[in-house]
Amino acid sequence: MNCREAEKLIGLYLDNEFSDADRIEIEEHLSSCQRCTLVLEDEKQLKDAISVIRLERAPAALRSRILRSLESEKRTRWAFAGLKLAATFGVIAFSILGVYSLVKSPEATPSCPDQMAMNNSQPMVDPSLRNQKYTVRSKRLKGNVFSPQLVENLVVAHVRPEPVEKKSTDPEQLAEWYRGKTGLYTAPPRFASWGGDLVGGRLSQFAGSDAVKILYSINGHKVTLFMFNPAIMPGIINIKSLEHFNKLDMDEIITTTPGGRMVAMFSWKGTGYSLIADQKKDVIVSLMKSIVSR
Amino acid sequence: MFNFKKKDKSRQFEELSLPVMDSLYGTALKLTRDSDAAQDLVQDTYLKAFKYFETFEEGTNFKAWIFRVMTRVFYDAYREKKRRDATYLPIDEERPVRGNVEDDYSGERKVYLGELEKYLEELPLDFRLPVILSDIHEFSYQEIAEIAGCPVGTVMSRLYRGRKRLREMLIASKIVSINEKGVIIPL
Repeated sequence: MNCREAEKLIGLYLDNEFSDADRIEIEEHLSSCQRCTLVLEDEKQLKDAISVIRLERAPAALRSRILRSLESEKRTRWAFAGLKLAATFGVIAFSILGVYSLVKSPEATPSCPDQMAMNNSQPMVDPSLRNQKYTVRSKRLKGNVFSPQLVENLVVAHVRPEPVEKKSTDPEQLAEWYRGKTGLYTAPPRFASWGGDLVGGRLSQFAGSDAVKILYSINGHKVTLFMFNPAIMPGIINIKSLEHFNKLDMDEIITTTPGGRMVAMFSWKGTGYSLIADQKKDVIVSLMKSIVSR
Repeated sequence: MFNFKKKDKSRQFEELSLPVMDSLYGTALKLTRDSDAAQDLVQDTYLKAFKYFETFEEGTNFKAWIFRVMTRVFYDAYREKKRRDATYLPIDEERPVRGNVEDDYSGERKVYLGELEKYLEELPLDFRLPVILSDIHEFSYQEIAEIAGCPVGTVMSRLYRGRKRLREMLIASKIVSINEKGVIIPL
């Protein structure tokens, strides 16, 4: 082994990544070469110096944030497991009852979709929309505001179980928290008249720009609101007044996803809003109305 | 019919993952160079690792596994951010070595090994990650290859080049010197 070969292998030697045979070979070279021994010493000193670099410890706030989000993730899993279990029992019970009713009376009772939706605690999605193909109905916004990619990203962001960074039911308190961080000033709306509770907010991204994601729980169902600078969305419908809103064709500002979710987008008084919810269209329209009535 | 094994898995995940949070955060900070971004990265890492904990093979190195999750989350977010925002400061930006290495081969210099950390952060990401994983966390080359998602040969060459570059930066900043035999020595 010559010095050139040895020099290249010194790092591996120090990292203990050598086979015994290679080790013997390089050690033989080192025992007879003062230059390579010095190179080895230098490499070792550098490695030792790096190894004593102290990494910063995780802040306590991060630790508690992670613990909270893990807890919420666990609860979601258990709830899901519970739902699966309930569904399994439901299918079994339904099968038994079905067979029984067929035996008992030949005419089957028609089921009521709305009632079923209420009973199994599913979000209030209009059943007729579930199998609907994804369409961008608005001509004015086609390929511009409601791009399929953006709608998909919004739905993913809505569904993803992200913990809030700032928990608060007070819009002003939330706004105070995100004002210095995002350049957004308007406080988030309240949907109290709809039985809605503000849960909290999280700094986020909207179409590649800083935004704030506000979470609501409306009658137990999650509603997500993104607030952003509307300048990043050329073509977004700017609502001028409540009268203007009332006259608007709602298909201009609401789109429906194949899963039956509603995604609304508009701007009002210099702030961009995007609402994503598993609610019926009239509920979304009312929520938007309460924003533009402020 | 409830899956009690799942509950045990949750506990097992916490037992394994919480003790490595400092290591993850410290490394995340070195990767992102930003406290808020590092916190988000670690939080997303925990959520993703928890979600895919079933894929962790018992008896293997959990720390290496969760580091792998973190680098994936980091690279995905980094790529996404880069794609969306052309003005974002490129993490891989090659920063020029200050001063002239050749001019600094002689003369008296002072050791500022505390500065080493700063130079480590200035290394391009592809070199910085293996150096941190090898020299600070003492992962094996095989583990680094899995964490960084590249072949072992690439790890070896990146480590070699990363350390070499670090040494050049130290020489240029007069932290280390080279003796008469051409060997670099800290002063």
